[in-house]
Amino acid sequence: MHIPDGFLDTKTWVSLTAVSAAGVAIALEKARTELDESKVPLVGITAAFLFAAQMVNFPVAGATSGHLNGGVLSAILFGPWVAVLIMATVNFIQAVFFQDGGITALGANLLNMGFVTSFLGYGLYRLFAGAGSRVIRRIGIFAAAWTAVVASSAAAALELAVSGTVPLGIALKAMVGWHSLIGIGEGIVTVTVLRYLTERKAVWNLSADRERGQAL
Amino acid sequence: MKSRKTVLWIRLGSGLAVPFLVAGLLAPFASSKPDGLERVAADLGFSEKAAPDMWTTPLSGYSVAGVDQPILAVGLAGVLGTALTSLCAIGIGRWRTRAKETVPTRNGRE
Repeated sequence: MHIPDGFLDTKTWVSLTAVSAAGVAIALEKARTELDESKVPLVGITAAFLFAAQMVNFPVAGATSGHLNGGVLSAILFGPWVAVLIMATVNFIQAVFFQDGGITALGANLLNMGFVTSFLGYGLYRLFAGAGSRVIRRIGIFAAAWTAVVASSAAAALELAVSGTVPLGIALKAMVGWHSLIGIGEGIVTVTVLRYLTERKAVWNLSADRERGQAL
Repeated sequence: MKSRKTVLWIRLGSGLAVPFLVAGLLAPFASSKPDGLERVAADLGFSEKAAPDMWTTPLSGYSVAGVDQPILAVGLAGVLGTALTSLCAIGIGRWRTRAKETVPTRNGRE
């Protein structure tokens, strides 16, 4: 759901660019304490994986297509602030080098696909992370990933409506409708990748982070 | 005896195999159906509001300019983007974790 240039009016994209820029500045500061040096290689792999996975659109209901967002996956692995930096890296490269998402819409896109997914998904994940049952934890991760994608699409609909591009009601209905299907893919991929990494937890030093590692 | 750091970077090399394979081998066969927003824009009739790109690069649209074979052009664009993304993310990660080293520790060392 990368918004191109032209869909957002000036007041909207300027405000959202300012909000995202401020958020990235905070994230850079937070990363100093929240990112352990031993996790830097996995941050690089995750960002690269998300760039690659975002190229792989899967067909949805014969009418549209979706791809992984990865904000929730990153937030579970590294916490929401580092996740925002990963999403910012991916969205920036997509916009500047691949013309995927507008330059003026970069702030809005990062807000929707970085901040909303990372923070909302992480919050929901934490609700289930303490559950004793692995099945419940996995359902929690699926639900967090699905909800994050749907909320992200609702945020995009709101921005389009505020810009006067399309009325809010029909924008919300259409965006949330399709993304509630696309979000199923997000949930499946997020759970699958985390399962894979959990089985190799020691390799990636994930257990070093007790708070998050134990809940994977 | 390999240092802990060396081990980490070896893992980085092997771990990057997955994204490179996804970008190089899967991306060329991705669905070309419109994504969620494109679909909505078409259905609700605001697609034409999209402005032309401010600039283009040899990688625009996930296809390397000048490569005639479409599968190759997309795969190559994916591999280049994956390399660029991993370098940027690792650069940011190293920059931020190094910034931490200059923060004074609790017992006054450093």
